Amino acid sequence: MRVLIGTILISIVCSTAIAEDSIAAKEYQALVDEFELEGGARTFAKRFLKIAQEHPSDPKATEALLWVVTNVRGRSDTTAALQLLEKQHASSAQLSSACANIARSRSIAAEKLLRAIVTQGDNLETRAAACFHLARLLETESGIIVQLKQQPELAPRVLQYYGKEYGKHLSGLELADLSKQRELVYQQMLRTFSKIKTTDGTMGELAQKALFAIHHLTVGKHPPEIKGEDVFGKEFKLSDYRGKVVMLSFWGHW
Amino acid sequence: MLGVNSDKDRKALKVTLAEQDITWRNWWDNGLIDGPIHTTWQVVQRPSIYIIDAKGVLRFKEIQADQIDAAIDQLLAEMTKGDK
Repeated sequence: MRVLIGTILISIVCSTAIAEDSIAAKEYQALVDEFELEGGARTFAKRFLKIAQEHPSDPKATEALLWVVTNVRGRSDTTAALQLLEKQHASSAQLSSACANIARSRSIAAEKLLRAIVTQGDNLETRAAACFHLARLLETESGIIVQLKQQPELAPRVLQYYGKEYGKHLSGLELADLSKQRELVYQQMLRTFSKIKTTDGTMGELAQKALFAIHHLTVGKHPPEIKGEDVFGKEFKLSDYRGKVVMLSFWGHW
Repeated sequence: MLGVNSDKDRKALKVTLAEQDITWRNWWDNGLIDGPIHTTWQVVQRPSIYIIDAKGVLRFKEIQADQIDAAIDQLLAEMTKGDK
């Protein structure tokens, strides 16, 4: 009996060892070690990409591509990594914890990859995470466009920070299109991922709040009624002022 | 000019209004920064200024202080144009 257990143990150890010793895994680990010694992520990006291109079906390929996405933002290598992930790895379980980094990667390919994960993701949680971060990405892009409209002099800084490719893409975006895209993403969030929990409540609640903002709290829309008491306890309504230009201030001492 | 105020103490607010010569009407949002009006309007920063045109359409949101005059002039001009 003891011999049998021993044999089983040895074979388990051996099989794990074989799996971990794939060429891709060895190359990946060597590169990670070298990077930790030398630093300078940008110069390593191409070599991580190469591992993924040469061993596309090895699980380490996904990891190598995610290394690029996480460590190098706003470069053409970032875009290459995101595009490979989208084409070959969109259903990988490893993507579940990578959606935030994908959304922050400052590349035109991030949105497409997140959309691919929303439909092809490993499980419901992964797909939900992709949907959540896709919404965040679109919100960030809307925010940038609003700010650029208010302060056009920021344009060169946007190009510098987001990289030439993505920066140019950003400055060509239309607020109305983005608003429509956001609406669609939140509708899907409500339909498919409603019960998934986030730190700010369920995704259903989040989506409803966002949809309300898109429909009522956006420039060009009719804002919600305000009805309540003034400081002296007398009731009045925002709609009492229809026909006048109203400047509404939310303020307080705190 | 209307306001939504989130001060805790309604009595103290009356004093503030008088002292600072605040003549516009204010809704008092139950003394909460997450009072019902702030929540519905999803206000994330204060002070926060919104401008609504004569037709009741939201036209400017979280507008910068130095752009308020021009914005109001624009909307007033639209209003008189509409009357003619």
